[in-house]
Amino acid sequence: MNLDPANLIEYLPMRFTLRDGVPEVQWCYVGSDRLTEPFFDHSIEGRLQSPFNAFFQPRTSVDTLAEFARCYGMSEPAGFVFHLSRCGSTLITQMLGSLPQNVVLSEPSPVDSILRARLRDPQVTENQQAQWLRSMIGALGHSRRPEECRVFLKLDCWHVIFLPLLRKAFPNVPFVFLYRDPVEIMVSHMHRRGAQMLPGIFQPELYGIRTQDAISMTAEEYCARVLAVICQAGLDHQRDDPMLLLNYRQLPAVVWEDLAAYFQIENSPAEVEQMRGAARYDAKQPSVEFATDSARKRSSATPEIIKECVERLEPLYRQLEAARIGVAR
Amino acid sequence: MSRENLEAFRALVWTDADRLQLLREATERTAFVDRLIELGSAAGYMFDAADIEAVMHENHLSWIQRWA
Repeated sequence: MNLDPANLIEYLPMRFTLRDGVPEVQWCYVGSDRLTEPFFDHSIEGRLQSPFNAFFQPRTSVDTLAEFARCYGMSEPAGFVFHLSRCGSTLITQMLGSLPQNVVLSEPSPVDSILRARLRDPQVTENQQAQWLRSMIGALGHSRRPEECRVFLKLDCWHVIFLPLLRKAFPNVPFVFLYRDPVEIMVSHMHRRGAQMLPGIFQPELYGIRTQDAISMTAEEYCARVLAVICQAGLDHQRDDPMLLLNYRQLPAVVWEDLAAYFQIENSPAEVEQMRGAARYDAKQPSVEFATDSARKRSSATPEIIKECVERLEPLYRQLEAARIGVAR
Repeated sequence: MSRENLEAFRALVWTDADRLQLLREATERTAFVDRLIELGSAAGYMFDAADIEAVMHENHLSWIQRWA
């Protein structure tokens, strides 16, 4: 459907697909609502409950998306947040999103669809992906309220693998990479694995692991290997294009200190207080008060988790820590 | 044929802010379906509830398959 981008001003792109190699964008009506849910897809899912949105999901070409981004999108995101999963990245987005001038996009699936497009269709070029990313992120971040003037994007953890492509698309956007003691991350995934840790759901080839090998691994080994690939991709990128590295232990104060400075944001004392207030609640269940669980996680680590962490993750974690505190190894 | 009518009407409605607003105001599913049929019929596009439900079902499937 060829729609005038002006007709889409109250919509957000909710899905990106390749139909026989041709990119198509689906949109969802959101009006001027602020998206405050912990994840972009949760926000969309809530709106799809309305019969209007269940029925009307306009589909447009990627050219319409580009035109929309050109006319209404924000010029440049203020920062991207990469992470190792289960390490406080949602807390960062909830804190940034507590300020009305910030638009925070938390793991929007259309961005993932573009990043993984070449896995589905090898004909897709990196230049196309970079262009689509600029259009998609520009459109997702378009200002729908007068006070909104900055856009932040939190990516999915596996998007660290696509750092070079994202840098190609956004040469000047500051990147941060958040991580955590791997034992604590592993314990969290063994309690409830993320989709990215399930080889039956998420293609293991993305991490350079063959499916037949993946299915013969223990859950601990597979999870550790995936985390190791993500860590290594972050470290590889760090050598040529340093990001701001953040450890979970530094949260929440690092958000209004180092991260704000890195993203070139000046927050008033009232805004810092606002973010401090957001940090008091569990980022994924905002009705629940936050309580740190590092000690509990470490004490519940099984021998299998410890073994995998020692073998595959501790060396990488030490390298990240060394890079963070500026010690070359 | 009624499915084609529905698609044609959906395309027509996109450029009509008043009809879009009327449809957005129908927040309950049955009321939405009734209003869509009524507006379509008034404009000469005949389709039924099953056609509308089929579109909604396809859209729902498309959404839940987004990670595939």
